[in-house]
Amino acid sequence: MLILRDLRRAFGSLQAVDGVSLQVNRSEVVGLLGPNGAGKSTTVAMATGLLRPDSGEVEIVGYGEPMRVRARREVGLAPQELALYEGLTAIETLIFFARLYGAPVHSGAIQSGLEEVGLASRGKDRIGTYSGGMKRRLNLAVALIHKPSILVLDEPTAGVDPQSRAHVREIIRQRAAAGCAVLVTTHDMEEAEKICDRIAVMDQGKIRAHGTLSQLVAAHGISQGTHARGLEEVLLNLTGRSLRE
Amino acid sequence: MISQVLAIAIKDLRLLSRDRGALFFTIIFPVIIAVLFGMVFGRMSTPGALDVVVVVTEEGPLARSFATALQADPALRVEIAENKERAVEIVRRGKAAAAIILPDGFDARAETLFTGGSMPLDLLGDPSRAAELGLLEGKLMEIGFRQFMLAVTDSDRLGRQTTDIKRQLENSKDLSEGERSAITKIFAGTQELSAVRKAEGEKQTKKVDGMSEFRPVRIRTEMIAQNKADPPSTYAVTFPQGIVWGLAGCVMAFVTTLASERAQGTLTRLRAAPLSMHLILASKGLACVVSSMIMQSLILALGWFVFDIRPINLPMLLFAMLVIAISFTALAMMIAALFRSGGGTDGAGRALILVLAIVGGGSIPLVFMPPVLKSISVVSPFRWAIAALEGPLWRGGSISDQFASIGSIAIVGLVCAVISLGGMARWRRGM
Repeated sequence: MLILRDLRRAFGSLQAVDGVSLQVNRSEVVGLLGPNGAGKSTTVAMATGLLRPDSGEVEIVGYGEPMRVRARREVGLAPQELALYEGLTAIETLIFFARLYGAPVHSGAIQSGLEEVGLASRGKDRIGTYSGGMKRRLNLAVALIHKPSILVLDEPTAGVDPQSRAHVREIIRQRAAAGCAVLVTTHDMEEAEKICDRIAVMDQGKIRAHGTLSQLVAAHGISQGTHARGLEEVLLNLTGRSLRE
Repeated sequence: MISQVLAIAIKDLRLLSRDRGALFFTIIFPVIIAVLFGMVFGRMSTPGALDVVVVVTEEGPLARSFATALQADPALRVEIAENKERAVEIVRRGKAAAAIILPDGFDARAETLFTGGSMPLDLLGDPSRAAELGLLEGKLMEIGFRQFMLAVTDSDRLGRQTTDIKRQLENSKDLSEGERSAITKIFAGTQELSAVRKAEGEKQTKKVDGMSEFRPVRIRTEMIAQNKADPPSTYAVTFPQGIVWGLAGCVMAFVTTLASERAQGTLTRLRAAPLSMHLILASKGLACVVSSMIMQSLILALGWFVFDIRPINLPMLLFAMLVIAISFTALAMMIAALFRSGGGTDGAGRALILVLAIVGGGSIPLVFMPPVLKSISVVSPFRWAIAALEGPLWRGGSISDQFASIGSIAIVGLVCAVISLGGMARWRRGM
């Protein structure tokens, strides 16, 4: 279980995250939604121990703060960038990250990791030869290779084809069903609606609303006298329609 | 922890081995520089002739004639030294393969050629140039024969010598009257021959057969150790230069991988893994040290087996290579720590390394540098790396001298490490 308590972080005069509290339980997928610059990535960085909060705390229940080595072993991170070494093969990549996390590196474990993301037949090819969708799936496979109890996925389906997107969503749901606590940031309303059990809408460093899809629509779906049809209307009602930098 | 460090180091080395550009600048380019510069500098000196230094300890016409014959020989490049000590010093410095000493009494001994004597020569040679010394002995014998033939055809000298011999015959108490008479007739004929030749003018004598056992020159050889103050070949200078460029390639490969790790987001992924930033950098540093060691070993092995650059102190050379590899890794870390953006690290790092390598003797050997540039070169770690390699490779000197050179590069590495730790502290504050 992942708990964020009153997290605050400023960069100079910009208050990027301002009092964020959130809990992600086992077998639950929580979506973090918001426009660009809302503070989602900063929150993810603090949740995974990449960034120290100015105040507040992050707890990996049973392991302490994520800066601790033991706690980090419990977290799987798929960054927004395709954080992969293009000169390595998928097999070499998975073996490398498995070693970093102290996970098994035998061929069965690696092959299983590749099969999960549909790359078993291309495991010996260098990543530089992969399509965007394949890279995105491998990016997820790296986060999963050590079987973490907490998954933090920063826009895991950005820029991929519908087939890869559907596959990634399926994997996320399967991992949650297996007991994983999953925190996902996304711009994709459809994705949030389909895979998230709860959704937190962020803007200007704060969580503006939080709950299940139906709770959010019920609470924030009235727009100029009209009932919103979906999450996008909720988001626009909460964060406004002005363009963001 | 060790398996994590090794995993990152092996990953970096694997990526380096698959990056053709990095491989070229780490291995191929330095070899090209070493060989090409070696050939160019080699052609700048006159090849072919063997350098010898000659000392005539007692002036005399025969000694002078012999020295002149040595100077006239196209196979030799002769320097005349005023005394034996000076000649020995020249050989010790590697400026000449051997010293040829025409000792006191050379002329007197040369006058006895007709009675079984020979010209005495002392040959003081560098033991590391045994093949050249063998050729030189042959050359001295050849010149000795030529001198002998000149003596035979020199009617004045022939006449003078037969007169001397005749006087000795007359005074000899060991000969019977009959023997004395017979031998006196022979020399009378010889004197007549000398007179006839003088009347007809000097003629070139045909080659004399049956003289294979005759040795006009008696060579006493003595080996003197060279102190290696000068390189045995231009390649001994240019191979450390090549290594400078290899080190620049390794440092840049390290800096580039760190820059690309930042740009691609893989550094974020490494930082999220259960290991500290220090351990990540130490792992990448290990890859840099290993790649530097491999590069230095390959280049020096090529120099050894192909260009005959044999290190005079192998353990010290290996120690110097290790210290250099660690120090340049610290330099790479300093560059990576000073520039926070990937592009800044890559661009500024390349520029800095290039300037330091050129100033430090990567393009012009220190001995050829103008004084101003030589003074500036002290700021370059590449200069100290060259000095640390040259000591055990060919320069020699005392162990403390060699440790001093290696210590200099170690100090440079230490300074870089301290600065890089400061830079990393800035990183951590930004976390």
